Amino acid sequence: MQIIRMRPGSGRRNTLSAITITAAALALTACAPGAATSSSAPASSPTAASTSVGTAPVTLNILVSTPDVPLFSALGKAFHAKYGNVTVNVTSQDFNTLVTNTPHILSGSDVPDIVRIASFGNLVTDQLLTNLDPYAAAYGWDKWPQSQFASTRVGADGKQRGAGGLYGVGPGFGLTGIYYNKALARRIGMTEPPATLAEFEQLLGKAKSAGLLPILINGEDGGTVYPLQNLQMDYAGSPQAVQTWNYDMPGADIDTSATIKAAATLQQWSKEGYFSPGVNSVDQTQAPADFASGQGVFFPSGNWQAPGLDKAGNGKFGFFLFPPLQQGGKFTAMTAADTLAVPAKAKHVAVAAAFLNFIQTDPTARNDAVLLGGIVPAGPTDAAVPPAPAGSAVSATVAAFRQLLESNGLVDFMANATASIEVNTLLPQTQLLLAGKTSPSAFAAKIQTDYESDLGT
Amino acid sequence: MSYSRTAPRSDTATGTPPAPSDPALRGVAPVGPVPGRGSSAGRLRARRVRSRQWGALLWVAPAFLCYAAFVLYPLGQSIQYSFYNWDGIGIATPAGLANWQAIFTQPELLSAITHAFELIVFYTLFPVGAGLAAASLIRELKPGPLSTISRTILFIPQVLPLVAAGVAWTWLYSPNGLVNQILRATGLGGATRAWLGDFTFALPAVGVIGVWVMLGFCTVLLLSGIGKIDPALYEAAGLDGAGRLWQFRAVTLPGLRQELVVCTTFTVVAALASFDVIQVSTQGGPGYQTMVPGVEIYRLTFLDQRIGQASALAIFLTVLVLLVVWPIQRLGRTD
Amino acid sequence: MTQLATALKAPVIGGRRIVRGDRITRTVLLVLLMLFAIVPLLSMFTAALAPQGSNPPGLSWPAHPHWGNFADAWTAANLLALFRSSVLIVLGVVPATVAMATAAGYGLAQLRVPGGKIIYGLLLAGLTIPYESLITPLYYDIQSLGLLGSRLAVVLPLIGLLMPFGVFWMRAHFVNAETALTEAGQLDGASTWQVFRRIHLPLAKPAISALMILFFLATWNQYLLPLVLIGDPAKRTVAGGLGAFQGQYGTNTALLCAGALLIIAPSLLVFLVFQRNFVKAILQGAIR
Repeated sequence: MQIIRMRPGSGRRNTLSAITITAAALALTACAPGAATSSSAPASSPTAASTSVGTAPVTLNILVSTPDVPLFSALGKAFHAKYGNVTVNVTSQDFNTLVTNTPHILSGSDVPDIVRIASFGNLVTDQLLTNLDPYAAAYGWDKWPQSQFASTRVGADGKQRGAGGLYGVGPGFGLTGIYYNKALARRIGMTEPPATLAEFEQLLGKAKSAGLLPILINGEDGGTVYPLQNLQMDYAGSPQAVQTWNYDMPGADIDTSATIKAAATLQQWSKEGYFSPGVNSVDQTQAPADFASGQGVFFPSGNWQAPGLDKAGNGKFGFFLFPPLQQGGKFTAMTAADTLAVPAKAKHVAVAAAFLNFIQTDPTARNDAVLLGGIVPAGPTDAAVPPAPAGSAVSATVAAFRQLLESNGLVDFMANATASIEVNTLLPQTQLLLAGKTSPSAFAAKIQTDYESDLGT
Repeated sequence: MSYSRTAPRSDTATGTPPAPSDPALRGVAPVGPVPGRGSSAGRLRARRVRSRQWGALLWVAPAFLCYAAFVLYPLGQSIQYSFYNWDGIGIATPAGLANWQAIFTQPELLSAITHAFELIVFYTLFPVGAGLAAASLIRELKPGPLSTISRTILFIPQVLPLVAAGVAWTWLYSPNGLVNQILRATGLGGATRAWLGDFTFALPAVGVIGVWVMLGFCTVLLLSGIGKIDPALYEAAGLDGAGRLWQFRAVTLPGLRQELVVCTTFTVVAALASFDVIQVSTQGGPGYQTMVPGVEIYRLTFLDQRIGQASALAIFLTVLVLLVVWPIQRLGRTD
Repeated sequence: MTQLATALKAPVIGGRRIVRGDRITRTVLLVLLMLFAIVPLLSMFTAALAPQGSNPPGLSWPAHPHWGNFADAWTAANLLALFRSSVLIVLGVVPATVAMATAAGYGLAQLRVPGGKIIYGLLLAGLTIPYESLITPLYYDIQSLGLLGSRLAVVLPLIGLLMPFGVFWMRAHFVNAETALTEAGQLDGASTWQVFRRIHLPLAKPAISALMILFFLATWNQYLLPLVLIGDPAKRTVAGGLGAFQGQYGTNTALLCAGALLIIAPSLLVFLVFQRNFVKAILQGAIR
């Protein structure tokens, strides 16, 4: 119960006193905030990298988001099996809380050794993360296909990504595409995944006329931004513009004709009724549940849903990458590393780096990533691709990822461009777009404006 | 019938206080006027009064110090932060009045404040109105199990954490939830929708949660107030030929003035400062439809890490609350 | 008997004469309002008994009630730790705040405190400060005290935040206390403290117990402060736990409803047990 608040009588004199007191407090603390608590974090200049785990008993603390706990517990066990002196302790918070609390956790006193990072925000500028380049050299990561590290490189200014120091690696990559319900797809006459955007739109129309829900998607928490980005990359002919924008490179501009066209198409799909009327209240825990129970023909989402869908019905669901504009065009998809970073204040940096190396290279660990996390490990070119049951959604996503790696179609999510662009701009604006409450050109302009103000402040 | 307990007051006219009724105090001799014994007794008493006064400060000090340390001091800091650009960890750069200007120029911030005021309709007007009705309904029942039960049940939503109210109603509003179920059952199936994802109805839907939470509180409060109104006033009005509505306006409402002021203040503050319910149910969506200052401050602080802007908005909210509450309080002053 | 006579014989309550037909409508209206208040909880109860993973419709008793859902929710939400944590926080906040508020309320009401009006005014202003205004600086203050992440991080600010209401409440009570008793005690040679302890404190018991219940509820239901100031979900209050629970088990409606009900239960229980005193004290104490 909220406390009863009341303020009877005696107004003026007491507000005056209140103002006096607060003004006094203000005067007393005239220096800028944060000066007294300036971070004493060590400079992130690379120090000598050791690949040794040592022999002394060590507890490695890993902080992840709650859905990731099964995966990292398994990885921790596998690591302990190899290095008996290292015990891996996995703690978790729900994803939203983790995102809000990360900067303060990393600058506080009880700092974990490895932490799951959703976006870099100001973490590098505030010198809260360890630069992993020395370890990349020591472990030989610099000999692997480097595109897998692009999204976790941060430039000297702390904002630009794509090049610069390496601040994160992950057990695997999330990958986006479109799941389809095989039974319903057969009903509308789909024999193989669509090869072009036009084919896909035809299928959507067929689904609609068959009385089915063409696209099931989580409109409440950002699922609709995926097809938007896919459409944008299709119309632009290459992911370059988006990638530049995602990486906060100077001069990046998303307010282009391709974006406007993408927005217009998405809005058109909404008008045609391809989305469910309640799309804005479906979130990413409900959407897969609904899809698994047979609603919706197509479900744009990512490979992290694959294990759950396979559990609901192995062999019932397929996966394909978002089709390109032209026949034989390049397939693109959004991918993001399940980024793990080592805080600058971590106690066991070398052991943490060893763990990071382990999860990218060890076959057991790679298997776990696929089967438990639904994510695809990258790593060296000669590393084994983990097997998955044939016909499962997981195996489809693994195959798709190989396809992407070969065609170099890995692109980062627009939602990761700045720390808050998804929640503050992309999400509400896409909701407005689908509801017909904003025009495609206003939509594109607003995203660019917010992006610039996010970076400028 | 009156619920208020009036303490017996000493009758200054006769100069003697009534005998204490508490058995624990029976041993204390009643006080009569002190016979004048000259100036020495007067000086002694004066000195005791003065030392008592400074000693009295000790009674108040702990409470006030806690309050000053954890409320007034942070409030001052908030004011200070609002003039800087700061991400909470690195170095702060002076921002002058930029954060304050943004409140009036950024449409999202302005609309958040508008929504908070719209919520007042749901948090205050409906509960106070329905509370008046419910209070008079309960009042007319004979005191007995039904009146106690109804009072208790109506108050239950107040007892729960607001987060729980948000969780409960999010589920009720889901496409298969109770709200749509009732609509279908009463033949209004065409009105069903995903309430919290609907651009027109998301804010009213959140408002209904506010009605649910506040109704019991207003009812109980107004019930006590009605109980204090002297029935003789009603008799007099009735004898004067006043109809029910006139009686309501002339007798009930004025008699309820204090309670209405408390009700209104409490609910208005809850509406303007709302955070829990919206954070749990809609997070400000769809679009920007249910964004309120409370959630915006939280987001600015922890997601955007723009402490200066968050503080400016927070202080603005505080001032706004005070500005809205002050006239309400003045209306309630019986002078 | 004429109709008028019958009407005149109808009971007069609150100045309004009630006639039978009216009474039925009023009872129906009252029942409707009560349903509005209670049905959401009932709906959650029936949903909590549905099989997990299903999509239970609004209000329908399931064919096979799954009482085990409550046990599952208990472990899934780590409710034991959360309850323990909330109790610790309540024990830290309520006695201290009540004690200090009572002393301050007595001081401001019965003793002549220098600057008392200003102090009281400042405290009253605090009643309308939204918590969101203070959360950022509180975060840094607590951090510089080195208490971030511990339960003290919530206990100390909450004491400060609840203090205005406590002082207001106790002062309202003591303002009406019998000064004659005070004078009698003083003439007998009792010090201020003894007067307070022997005379006024016992009389203040109803107000104090009502205040303790109110503070219990305010602390137990606190969401924002633990969310921000304590990183470990197991050390927060139950309200904070519910938020995380919802984020994680959003689809599992049955589990979510079971967990929410378990979390609500203590507040409900405390209220139902003490409701008589509690409501009476509100009625007495809130309006002066």
